Amino acid sequence: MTESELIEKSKAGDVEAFSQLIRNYENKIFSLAHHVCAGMPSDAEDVYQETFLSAFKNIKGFKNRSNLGTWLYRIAANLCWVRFRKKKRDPVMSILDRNRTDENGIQWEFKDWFPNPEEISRKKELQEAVAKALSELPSDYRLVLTLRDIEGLSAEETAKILKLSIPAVKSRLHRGRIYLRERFEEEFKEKAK
Amino acid sequence: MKEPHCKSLSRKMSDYIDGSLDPKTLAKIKSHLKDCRPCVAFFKTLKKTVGALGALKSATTLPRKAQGGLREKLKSLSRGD
Repeated sequence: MTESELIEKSKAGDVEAFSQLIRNYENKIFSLAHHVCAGMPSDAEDVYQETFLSAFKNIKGFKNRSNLGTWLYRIAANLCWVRFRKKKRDPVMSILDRNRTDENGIQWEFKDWFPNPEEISRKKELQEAVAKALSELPSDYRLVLTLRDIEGLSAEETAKILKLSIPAVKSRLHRGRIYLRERFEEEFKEKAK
Repeated sequence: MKEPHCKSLSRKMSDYIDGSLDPKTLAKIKSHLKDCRPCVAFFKTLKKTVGALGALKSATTLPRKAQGGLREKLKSLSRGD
């Protein structure tokens, strides 16, 4: 059955068709929730389930010419965002102000201190460091970094999902990457000596 | 950064990594990276940061329990429970 046939059946309330329809998107949505709700696995599972329950309830309003993936990502992103705002546990913007590239200049380094991701012994350590640093960012930045750099979506798709302009996506992406780079510098520079 | 030129080019490094620069800026960055070692180190570590984020994609697995739970909730929703 094609995706549009499955959508039509889902609109008529067919749960089996809906379950088949979402199969290609479940891992993607869980991955988004997992990285945006970093360190809170039960929240990630809740966002994953709530996204598809909300999609099932609202699929009648889904316009067939739209992209289903974009629609599902948008529901999940909203749920993540609301969750963080409601619980008031979003890191504040000032965390990004420690970014030394803005006014005072970064400290010059001639050395590439970054561990090689292929080094098996450090792979887990690196993944944990990335996840930890990501969790320190405000959710708006985490959403952009997750969609662009983890899920591999384009700037245009990310802008559409988050209802942002493309320059706003690029700006958050760059600031977020710089923040992570500086956190990794603190983490790995000593070890690289 | 050390020089205003380096500082302004550093803001374009993400676009450089993503391949979304206009030809003029692209040529400027490429030429600058030929003889600015600090900017090369900055570029390399930023690029590896992006690569490290990308590696997280394969590190995530959807728990079967959550998937099973969703199927149950969907069934119960369609029954109008």
